[in-house]
Amino acid sequence: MAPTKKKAGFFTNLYRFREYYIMLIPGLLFFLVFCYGPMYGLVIAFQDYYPLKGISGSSFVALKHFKTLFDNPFFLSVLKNTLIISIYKLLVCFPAPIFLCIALNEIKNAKFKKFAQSVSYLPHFISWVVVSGIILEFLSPSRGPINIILQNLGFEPIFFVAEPKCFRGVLVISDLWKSIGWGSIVYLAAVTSIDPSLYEAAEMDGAGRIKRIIHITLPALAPIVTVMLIMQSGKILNDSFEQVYNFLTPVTYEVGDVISTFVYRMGIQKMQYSFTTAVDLFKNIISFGLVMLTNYVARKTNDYALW
Amino acid sequence: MRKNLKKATKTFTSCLLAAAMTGSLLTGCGPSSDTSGSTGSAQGTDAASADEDAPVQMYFLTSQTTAEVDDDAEVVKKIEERFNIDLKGFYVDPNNFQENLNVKFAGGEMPDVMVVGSPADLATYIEGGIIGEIPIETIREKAPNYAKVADEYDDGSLWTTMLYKGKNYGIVNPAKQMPMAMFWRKDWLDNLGLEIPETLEEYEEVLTAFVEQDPDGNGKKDTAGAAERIFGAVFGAFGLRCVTGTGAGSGFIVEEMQLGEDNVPFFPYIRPEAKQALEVLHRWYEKGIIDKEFITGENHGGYAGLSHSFMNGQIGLTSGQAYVYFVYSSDMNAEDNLGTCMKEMVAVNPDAVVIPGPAPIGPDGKSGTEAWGKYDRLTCLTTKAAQDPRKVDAFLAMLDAYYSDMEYAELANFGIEGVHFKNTDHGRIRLMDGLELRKEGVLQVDFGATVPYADNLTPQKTQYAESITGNGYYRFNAPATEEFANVISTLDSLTEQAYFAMITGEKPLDYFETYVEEFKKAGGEAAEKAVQEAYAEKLAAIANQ
Repeated sequence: MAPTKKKAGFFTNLYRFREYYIMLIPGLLFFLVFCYGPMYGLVIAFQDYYPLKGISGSSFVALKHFKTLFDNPFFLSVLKNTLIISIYKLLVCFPAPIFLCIALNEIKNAKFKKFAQSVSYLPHFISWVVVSGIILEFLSPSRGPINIILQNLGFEPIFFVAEPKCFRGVLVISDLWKSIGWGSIVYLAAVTSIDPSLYEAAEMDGAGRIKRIIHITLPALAPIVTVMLIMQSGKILNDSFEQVYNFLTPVTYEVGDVISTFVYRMGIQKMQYSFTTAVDLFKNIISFGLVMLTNYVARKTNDYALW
Repeated sequence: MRKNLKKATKTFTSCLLAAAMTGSLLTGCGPSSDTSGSTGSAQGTDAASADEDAPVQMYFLTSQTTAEVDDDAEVVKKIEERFNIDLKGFYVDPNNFQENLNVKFAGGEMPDVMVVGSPADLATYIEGGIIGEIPIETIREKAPNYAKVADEYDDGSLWTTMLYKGKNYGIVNPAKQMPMAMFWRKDWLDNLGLEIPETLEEYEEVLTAFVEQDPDGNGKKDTAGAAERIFGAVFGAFGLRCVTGTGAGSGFIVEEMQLGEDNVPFFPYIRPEAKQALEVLHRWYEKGIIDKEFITGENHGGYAGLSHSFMNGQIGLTSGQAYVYFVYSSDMNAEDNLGTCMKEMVAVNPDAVVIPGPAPIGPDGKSGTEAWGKYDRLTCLTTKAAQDPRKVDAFLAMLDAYYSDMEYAELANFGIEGVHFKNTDHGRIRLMDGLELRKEGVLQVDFGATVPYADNLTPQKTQYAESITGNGYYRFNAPATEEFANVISTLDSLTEQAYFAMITGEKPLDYFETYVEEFKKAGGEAAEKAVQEAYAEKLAAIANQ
């Protein structure tokens, strides 16, 4: 039987571009082995899993672990905190590196630009344990410079990290400080690919600095901003455990306790694999939905959606 | 052949699991595939069958600092000869210790002897098929000297600790645990002409002076009395055990219950006496005696025993284990006498003088501080070792020797004089760090600071700690029950929120009754009952044996 025309086309192509397909194999294998293979481990979310008994030997408990999670009296407030903190961070920490990138791009002195850039991403390399220690000292009501200034101006000292009203602000600002420089790298890379003649031509046509930013820099950044936003939306439920854990105290539980710190206290250290897998599965299903949604919106509004 | 295949499948499965367990399952697969390489090293096959007289291989995992032992080291050879074993250290990468250990379990690898953290962990390990049974009769028969010491220091719960569903799964070591001691800034007391206080009322007077009368003489009102580490002593003055977190943060540890004088365990935090203690703490907070920054904890990172607030001269009173400040006397000038905290303190604040004092006595004459468990080092045989009578015998012989032969205990814990430790007037001083010692076979097969060990090998340290502490409220090793495990983190959060709110005055003290109601409704009542019943059952099981 003669193959249909379309099928023949596929195999001809496969043969014609065989080198490319062969080069693709390691990458595909990587994803199959390390990303798709482990997914079968998700069944442990529905079991009472013990490492030594393995997946085949552990007993099936259906939705028990999901029920434990949803039945917990703190679950709703924890979910709410996670969403609010992530959305605050998205609103503040997502656009900030774009502004920093534009500002750096406008600096004409190359040496100062390099210096400013390096300084801005140094905090990225400090671990949260250290950063939180520095910030706790910095904001201390008795020893911190901020409160000393406040006191000298005649205000009462504020215990920022123990004040529920300020706690989320501390999280957002410390995250901003730590991530802004590093986050701007990807945008700076996009900016360097802009043809300088565009700027020159615009200058000749009498476009001012602001006009050039709006009409050249920003459009050039649009695709990468869209992609980053789609990726970021998938992380809304993936709160930063290290950060929150190091700042959290019982007085700020009601505004700062997020999924990861909550699960940690629920006993992640006690070999509760099934429970933590159930939590992760729940988080990832929501994240998957958010990525799909953002991508859908992006596709409707501009041309740079991921798929 | 088939066996190999099975092993290979298992290793593969464990690789997959390692990748799966790292968290992000669906979205972020890129950054988290780094643990999959850690399962490569397979332990040597067990030569269990071949020769009956040949030394039996035994893998030990007694602490989180693990090292493979040097087969030629003198200590290793001595231990091997004495018990006819081939001593091996079970190496687990200390970064993410628990995770790496579990990956090994998933791959079917396990040590022969291992130490577990608490009876609650014990249940998980038994259900998981990792820890095997050792009947109490066997222990009594093969390790009579151990049994004698154990009976002597049994408060009624010793032999119940390792019971699970009526069977015994290991041994505990009666340890000489000392309650927390109270440490004062002597230079502050002297500056103000004050004596070390004894009752709770006198405590309040002295601590108020620390706030009001500028004890450090810098002309500013910038000192407080104490912070969260003395909560245990204040609750102790009302007959309750209260534990605040060590390390950064300062939450309450609700999962550690208290054993009443009637041998019935209970949650101390919901007792009416707790309200009296909270009243004191709230009053002290209002007066500035309790440092406002107790919320973020006395410890700001690093070694968990450190109190930065105390070291920096922010507060004048703290509490901790005796040895973290002084080893054998209250002498600040002898350098080998200074514990970890005292050394740091001298470095930061060379003028500070520290002195221990008694815990405060409450209105009804009660006093005491938190103490860790009386039974330490919950040591178990794995299912692999429990099946092999030679391994069981060797293990029990080593246990018995550690309790009856102090020369052996010295060898196992300190090593050889001149090589691993030196003798001074004040006791033995180690010459190497933990990792080095473990490579040499020291600290690999010991059973910790048992009672005979503390009395014979570290008498100066033991006597000193005894002399500066009083009554201790010991940790109760709660038997594992589902009712408890399911709600304990909720109870923990409830208690922490309510307690902090009442101490800082955000909520009035009368909120205590509401909190107790909520605590009981959230499963606290059922959990307490379940633990009490499980414990009573264990006691009955022991009585019948």
